[in-house]
Amino acid sequence: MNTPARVSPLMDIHAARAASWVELEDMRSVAAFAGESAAHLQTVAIGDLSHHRRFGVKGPGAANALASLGITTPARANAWVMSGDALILRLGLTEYLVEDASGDATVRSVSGLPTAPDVYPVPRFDAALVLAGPQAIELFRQTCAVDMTTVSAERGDLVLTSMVGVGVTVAAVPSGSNTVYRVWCDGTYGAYLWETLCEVAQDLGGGPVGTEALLRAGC
Amino acid sequence: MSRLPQLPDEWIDRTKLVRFRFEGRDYTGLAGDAVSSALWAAGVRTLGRSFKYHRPRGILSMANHDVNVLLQDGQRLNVRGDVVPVREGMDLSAVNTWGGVTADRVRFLDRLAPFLPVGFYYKAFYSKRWFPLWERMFRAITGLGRIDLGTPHLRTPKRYEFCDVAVIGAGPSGLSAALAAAEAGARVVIVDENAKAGGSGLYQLGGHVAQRDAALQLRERVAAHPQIRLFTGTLAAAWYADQWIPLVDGERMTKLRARATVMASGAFEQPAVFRNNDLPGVMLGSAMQRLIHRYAVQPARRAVVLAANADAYRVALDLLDAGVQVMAVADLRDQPMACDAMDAVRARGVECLAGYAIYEAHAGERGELAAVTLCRVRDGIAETTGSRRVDCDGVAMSTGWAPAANLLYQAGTKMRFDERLQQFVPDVLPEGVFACGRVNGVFGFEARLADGARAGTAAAGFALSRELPAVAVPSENCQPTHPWPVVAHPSAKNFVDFDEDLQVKDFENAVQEGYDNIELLKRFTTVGMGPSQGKHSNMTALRLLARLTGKSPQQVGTTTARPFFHPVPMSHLAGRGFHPQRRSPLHGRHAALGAVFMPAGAWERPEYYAVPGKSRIDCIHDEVRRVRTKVAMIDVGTLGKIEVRGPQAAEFLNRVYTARIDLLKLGGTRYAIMCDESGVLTDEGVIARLADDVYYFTTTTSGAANVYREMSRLNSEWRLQCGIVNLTGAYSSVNLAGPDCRKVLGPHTDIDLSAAAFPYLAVRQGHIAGIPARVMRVGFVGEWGYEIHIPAEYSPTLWDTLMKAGEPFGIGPFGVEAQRLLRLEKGHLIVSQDTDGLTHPFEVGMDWAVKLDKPFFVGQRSLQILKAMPLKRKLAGFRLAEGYTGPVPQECHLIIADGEIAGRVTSIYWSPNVGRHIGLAFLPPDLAAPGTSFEIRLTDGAMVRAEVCTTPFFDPEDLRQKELA
Repeated sequence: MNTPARVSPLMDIHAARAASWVELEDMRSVAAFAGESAAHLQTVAIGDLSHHRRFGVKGPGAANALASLGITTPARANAWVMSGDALILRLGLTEYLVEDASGDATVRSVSGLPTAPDVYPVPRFDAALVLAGPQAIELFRQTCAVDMTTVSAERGDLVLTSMVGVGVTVAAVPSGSNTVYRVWCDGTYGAYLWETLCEVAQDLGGGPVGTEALLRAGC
Repeated sequence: MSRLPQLPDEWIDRTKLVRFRFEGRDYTGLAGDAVSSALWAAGVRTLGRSFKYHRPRGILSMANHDVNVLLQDGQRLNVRGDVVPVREGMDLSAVNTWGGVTADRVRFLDRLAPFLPVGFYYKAFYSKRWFPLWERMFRAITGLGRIDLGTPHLRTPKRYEFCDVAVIGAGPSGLSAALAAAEAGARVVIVDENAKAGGSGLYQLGGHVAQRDAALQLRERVAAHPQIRLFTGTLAAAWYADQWIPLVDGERMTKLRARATVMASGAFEQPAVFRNNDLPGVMLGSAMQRLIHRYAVQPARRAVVLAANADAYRVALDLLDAGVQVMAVADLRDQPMACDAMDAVRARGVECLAGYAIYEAHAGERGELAAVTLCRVRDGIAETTGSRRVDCDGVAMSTGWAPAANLLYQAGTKMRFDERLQQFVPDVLPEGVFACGRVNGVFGFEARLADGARAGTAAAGFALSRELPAVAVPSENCQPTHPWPVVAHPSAKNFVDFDEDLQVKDFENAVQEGYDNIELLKRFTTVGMGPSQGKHSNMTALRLLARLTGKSPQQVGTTTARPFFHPVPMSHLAGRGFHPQRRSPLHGRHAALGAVFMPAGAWERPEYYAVPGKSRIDCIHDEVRRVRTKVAMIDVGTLGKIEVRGPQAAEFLNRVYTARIDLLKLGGTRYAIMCDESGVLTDEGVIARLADDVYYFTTTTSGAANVYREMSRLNSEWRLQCGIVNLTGAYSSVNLAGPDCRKVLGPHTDIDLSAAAFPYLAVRQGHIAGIPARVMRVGFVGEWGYEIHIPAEYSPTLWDTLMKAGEPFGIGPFGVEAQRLLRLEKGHLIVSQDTDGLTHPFEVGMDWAVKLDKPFFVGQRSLQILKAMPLKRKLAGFRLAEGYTGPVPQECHLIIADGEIAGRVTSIYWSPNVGRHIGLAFLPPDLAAPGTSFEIRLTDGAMVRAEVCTTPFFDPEDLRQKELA
């Protein structure tokens, strides 16, 4: 039996605007959008990184369970660290989100964690976005009640908040000399979040960009 | 009137002329002019008409409160002439006139005033029958602007801002506070509704040049400070908990989140009350000073100053400097407190009359101020003997102030009435809120600077959690406000509220009629309910009520100050709307199949799938037929999906659900319900036991978030060893149902689908098309079916696989409406449609699902009590007569027995499989026995007879779940 195809939670809305596609992690992703402009990255660009594999785990024993797999976890709540090529987010006190860089196998090892009394697996179906560009802060100011200027990429900060009424996790991460913002939300809210953010970004002179532009920009 | 020579801080640009029209005539102003200042400079003094009596009105405050100078500017309505800058090409007209501001045809209403006392409309227009007529008439006579429904939609996105210290008001004390806070290391936002910062420091001068220089220097330091952001033209419109402050500017609303707030909002100068105090030409002293120093407009040629404080003498000095002939200063006080300004006025030869008031103002031919009568006054009673008439075209009223404390009230500040100041001042401030300047009862310029520094430092200390040294404020002995600036007159027209044309006698009448507390008085007289929201009337109304009832102002108290304290454009309030919607991963598949979507909580679900050439109901019936005869699939991914894991998972669920979950066998499922503490049925679903310590269950679509939240709360209380994971978004689910469903699914799964291996109500885990799946054999729609749960990212792949596999069997999708009909045929209820906020399980025949003998579950105690009581109602199945063709009852139609409401219909459909209309209804127990007949009342009052029957309506033996069917 073939490996079943993964489908991005944003697939339906991308279908109408995609100019070219690329297969990433068994998921069809938008390589470039129709009418996409490099200028978006100079204002505010929105990209879809839902193709990255991710898995969650929570419970009092979660940190130890991850440590037993050799995965480093953040020492404080609401922070992220890199463990190998995987991004490890600590959501509150005892919940973790593990997201693979392409090709990494950390998620596979986490999703195969042996059953333990205080460790609860949390399968994820996130719409995973990235917001980049100097106007990203302004986009947050129109959509989110948290002051993102106080969220530091160097410190590895993340916040659990809401954007446009949707519960999101936002992490500030470095990208070269700049800061970009990773945003995760429940995939069933993904289309609404994407469309609304694109609308606001358009007002700011920005818009969506595909994975090719994101890769070029180092996101 | 005329323009004055250039002034140091004037707001106008003399190099740029602005041409505009007002009331059909052409005028020219200067860039930076307000509409009113441009018109005043052009000699136009009647700028609008009053709301009730259509009296001519001119400038009152020049401070955004001149509600009688509201203008229509094309599609923009209620433009405030006293503050809105004049623009090239404006075509303005006064609102609320019939035939223009000078020839208003309904100005005769002024003469009918004796027949239109306060509250007349309550007494005259109460008839329900005639009210629409009166309403139309009054809407036509009164009103504020004309709405053009063709006005294009203006996008006004909202925005968030953040700071450590928010300073409201950029006058001397606010600027000082901002600077002090910033110097202490705080990030400061300072806002002011005026186009420029500086406030009274730059226009209430009285020839005091050093004050102006100090204010300008302060403004420059604030503007240059890297820690301070200054927002001018921005109104802090309210204060909400946790220091949220909506800032309204010309374009949008910004939600400012601060750690501390400094209220430096100043004070509103208050009009004195005397006959004809509303004639064009009578204005506040501060309005004249604004005209002079901001717009370089001479307010009058010959003016009388009505005084009761030192500010009045500064006004007189400013008028003299502007070339105005000050005819006299009439001071309400018998023994005015000496001050430098008074000495200076006297030194310039102006007659100063102590213990004098303006008894009345006189109108000239055009209805504008032409003269005043001055006379001695004792406690508001004029001694007309010896009065004298003084010709003048301007009166400056400068008798007192009221604090702009609206945001302080909203923040929960406890205020007290200060007898010396004759104003309310903060007594106990909420944590993180500070006040300074006039709103804090500090009036002297130097004292305000010190008070601002004190408040700013304290606010920064609070915001940054740092101990900072306290700043001292020099004490004052000024008396800025007169306790009774009211002069009685037998012919009235001594106005208290300029918005609503309320006179002194209106308050006397209201109190006489028993409206003798401030809230009742407000509602009966409508004082403070106009566009200025009482900024110039509430304090005088309060004084009147205090005097009429023999109370002190403190005892009378103030009315509630609700947000917003100043009118805000509807477009700003609307802003960009955020209405989160959830979409199933299969949304695109549904759309491609012609789904007509309907809202289901936050979700969009396919109501049915439209087929060209077929009606909605035919499409639904086709979907039903497909389920009953072939195979069909519905997206049920919107159901809540929750997993509980851990050694005490069974114990946890036993406490949450009414059933014995601990007895559920591995690989089995059970329909279960949950109740709240009062025994009300709150949710339902299917619980599957996947392992000894792993349970996976569904909730209703609308209940998912609440159930998860409540479960999380309960477990934080109970601290059982189990974890709750919400998989609603992470998992997707479809229900494949119909006689051929096994044939469709079988070839694509490694799960044994035989009846023996996978019986009804079992759960199995395996793979479908290579996708890991949890499959439950449940029968909500009454057919052999599989509810398939998979990771959501594979959902479209699974859907495509099964739809293709089902093609030979005539598979198709079915929507929510078909599902509702199918479940009704089986007599299954839907929580929240067939139940309400009071329904308990015994009323809906779910006694079997409630195990009262368990040690504990949520709602158990209430259900034990309810079980012992007789039922008040019962959910029962019913059907209409065979072959019935009349109008069909609808959900929520009432059941009538003996002329009384006896129940209601909760569900009703035409069932193609039963061949009749069938439904569920709440009935009294004595009407709920099968075979009992009852009547349903339709919307138009007609009655339809129905008969109680047993459920299920279809396949009562559940034969379709058995292999032999």
